[in-house]
Parts: sequence; C-alpha cells; structure tokens
Amino acid sequence: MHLRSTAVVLAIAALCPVAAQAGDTGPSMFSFSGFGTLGAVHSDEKKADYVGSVFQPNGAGRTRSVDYGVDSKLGAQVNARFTDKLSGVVQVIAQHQYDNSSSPRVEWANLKYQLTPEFSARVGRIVMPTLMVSDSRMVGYANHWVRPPQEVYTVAAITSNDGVDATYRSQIGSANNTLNAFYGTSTARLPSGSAESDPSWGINNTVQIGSLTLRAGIVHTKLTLDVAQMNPLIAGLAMVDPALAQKYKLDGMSIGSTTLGAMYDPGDWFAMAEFAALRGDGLMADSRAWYASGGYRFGAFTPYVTYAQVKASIEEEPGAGMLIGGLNAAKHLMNGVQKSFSVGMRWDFMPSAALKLQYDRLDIGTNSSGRLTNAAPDFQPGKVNVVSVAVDFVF
Amino acid sequence: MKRITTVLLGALLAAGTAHADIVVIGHPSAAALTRAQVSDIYLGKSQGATPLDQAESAPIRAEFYKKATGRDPAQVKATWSRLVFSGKAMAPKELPDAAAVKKAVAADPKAVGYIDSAAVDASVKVLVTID
Repeated sequence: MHLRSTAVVLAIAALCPVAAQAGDTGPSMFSFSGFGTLGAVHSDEKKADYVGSVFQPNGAGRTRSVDYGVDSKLGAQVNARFTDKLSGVVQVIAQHQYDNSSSPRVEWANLKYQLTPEFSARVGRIVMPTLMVSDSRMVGYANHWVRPPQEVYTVAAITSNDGVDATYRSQIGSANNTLNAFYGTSTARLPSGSAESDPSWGINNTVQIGSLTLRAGIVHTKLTLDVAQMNPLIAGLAMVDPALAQKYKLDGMSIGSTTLGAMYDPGDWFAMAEFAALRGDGLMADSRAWYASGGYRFGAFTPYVTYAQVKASIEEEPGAGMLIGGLNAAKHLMNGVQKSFSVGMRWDFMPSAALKLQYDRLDIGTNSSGRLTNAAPDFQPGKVNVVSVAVDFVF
Repeated sequence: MKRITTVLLGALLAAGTAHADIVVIGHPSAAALTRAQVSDIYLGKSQGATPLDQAESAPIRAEFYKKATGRDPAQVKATWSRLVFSGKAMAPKELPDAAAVKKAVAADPKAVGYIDSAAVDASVKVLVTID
C-alpha cells in the first residue's frame, strides 16, 4: 500500500516536467488551493475524551478542559491539468492524529482520466465515498455543522483507499445521475495500532433533480485490526477456546455497510438525512446509525439543528472469567451506543471564512462509552454537554 | 411643459434600461439552456457545459448567482469548495471582464459565461436571459 501511493505521487511528479514541455498549456496547468479550521472544544465529561475521529488519541473532557485538536486542521491541494482528459490531484492534511502529532498526511493523490464526457476513471489514493459528504467531511467551510454527526460518520476506521475508481455520469431528463464504483486497499494508523483493509470495494449512486439529492451505496471491507489491547486478549482466548478465538479473530473480518441519504437544498433552507446499517463480524457488532439535520439561512447567518443516533446489537458471550469478561468489554468499547442533539449557528462573516458556534448534548448508551475515547475505569455513561467554536476558511 | 415631461420620461426610461438584464452566452453553435440547467451548471451539479466566472469583486457575479441559483456568494463558494476538495470538479475559471468572457466562449463550444445583455455581440450566442 505504501509503495503504491509513493508510486502514484512519483508518477505525478514525473509527469510534471513532461507536461510542462508539451506545449504552452500555460500557467493554468497547476492550481493551488486549501482549506482549514481553527476550533476549540469543551466537554463537561471529565472521565472520557470527546474526539473528532477514531484517529485522535485524546481530546476534550478528561485530558483537557478545552481541546484545540478536535477540529483544527489545515489542508493544501494541488490540482494539475495535464491535458484536457488527464488531470491529477494531491491533497495533504495536517491535523491531530494517532501519534499525538499533527504531521501532514496524504489524503488524496490520484490521476484522473476522462475517457468520455460521461465516464472517468481514477487511480491512486481516493477518499472512500461511504457517505454523502465523506469526501468533503474535512472541509469545514463546505458544511454547515462544525463536524459531521459522529454517530454516523465515525463508524469505519478506514476512510480512504489506494486503488481505482470509476464514475459514470448521465442525464435523464432534468435529473443528473452519478454512478461510482471503487476498489482498493488501505492502512490507517490508530492511536493503539492500525487498521488495514484488503480489499475495500463499493458502489454508490447519486441522483440529483433540482434541489433534491438522493444517494444509496454499499461498501464491503475485509478488515484486519492490530490493536495493542485486543491482541493479547484474542491470543489468550486461542489457548482456552480456539473456536471462540476464530469467531473473534482480528484478521480478515468481513464488514459490510449499506447507506441511504437524502438532501433538499433549495437555497434559503436545507434538510438532510442519512442512514447507515453496518453488518459486522467478530468484535465489530451489527449497528445502525442515522441522523437528520436542517437549517435556515437568514442573510449571513445559518442556524441549524441536528439529531443523530447509533445503536449496536451487541451479543455478549456467555460465561465467566477474565477472558470472556475482557471480550465482552471490548465489544462494548468498539461498538459505541450514543445519541445526540446539536444546535448551532454559522456566520459567514467575511468572504471565504465562516464562524461557527455549536452546542452538542450527548446521551451515551448504557454499558457504552459512545464515540468518546479514553474512558476512565469509573466512567459512567450519561449526558454530556459539548460546546464548540470554529472558524473555517478556504484559500 | 409637455416637452420637458417627454424629455424627463425619456431620461427615466433610459436610466431604467441602463440596468440591463444578465444573459448567459455560449458558442454560436451551442444549444439554448433553461434556467434550471444554468443553475445546475453553475453549482457544479451538471457537467453539460464548462462555466466561466467574472471576477469575485464584479457586482454582476453576485447578481447573476442570486438570480440564477438563488444563492449568495458564500453559499456558492461553499458548494464549489465541496466539489473542488473532493476532486469532483474544478472551480469555474475567473475572467476579468465581459470582453474576456466573450472571447473564451467563442473559442470553446462547451464554455458558457454570463455578461450584461448590453455587451452581447455577434461573436457569441445568447443561451438564456436571466432576469
């Protein structure tokens, strides 16, 4: 995987001088753009951390009263137009990540070939299009909320793919249809190890008619987890009950998801909702998550509300003993149950920048730590109040 | 008295028509568009044509987007940010004035742009009027 992405980046770099000599494609061949967020989050849950994703090792609440790493990020993108059919993009993002640093990582790096006006193919690193705004979830300025509903958007540890994808666009009357399919592998670093998908593949279709957008998709992943706390547990289980260890193997788990989404955005107001059903395997339980969000635009101000929830069907293994206990605890930890209600305001106070204020009230499910991390041994699930301030910008 | 009224009325009418309509123009061989199509093209929903913008500071740009898509500049920028940073499309190229828009559109059968109706000439075709 690492070799492949390096190869793609090298390929793009190699093409640059060739294309530059190819003729007077002019100064418009390369374009540079970027986006970012400066954010601060406060959570009143002192015994667990509120984080922006499963990749963040700590956050607001237990570790820090006010955390700047949850949402703050900087993204830089270079677009290259080599010919009228061949283009490339590289996007690098710096944010608080698994190793407690903010070193930049490559989020996108691919070449796109437009075979026909309707059909295009890409090769390289492509963000996984699991949900409606998965591929722009990092771009605060593009969205009304401070962050996408975590109940739905942080289900999978795999968020990108190194591989190929193909997109077919068509027009049926006044409707625009986009069909997309992808295949690839990926490795993501987690605070406590890594998650590898080999392969991940999926198909999704989006229909847009005027202000209405409808989307449906499926993703299938063969997931391998290498997590410090889990490995000894499964190894211990193998010595005692090989069949059970096989059921809960962290190697090659077969995970599938089905997602449905709808958005209505006539301009003055908007409403959107998504539903995701996860078919788990082993330690990853089946779960269902959904959210609904809407807002109204009053000049430069857009107040909005969001309701989200995730429920997991966790079947505890019967039996006593430390291993079974550890197994069941791991199941609850990995499959959070949580619902939340958010209310916020976006203010487009200047061109290319927006200020957001958001209040989230979380309700963590029994026996769960929801989407919180670093839960202390005496953490008790209950209600959590989170306040966030963020400035999003593009350049 | 009647003369002065006529002259005044004439002046008022002239002032009224100085606030001309915005038209979407294309290559002379391009097909006409509906307003819904223009909205889809300029919000990146449809790739049936290549949209061209005028400068961000030009008043016609904000007016065009408000009339054609019902959205203000911040909303339009947010919409294009989503597309640009997810690799789905590139933001419309920015041109300095109506003359540059006409030149670009006359050179590319797929390109469309918006200009003041008063600036239209024979080098381009009016695809739809945005009023």
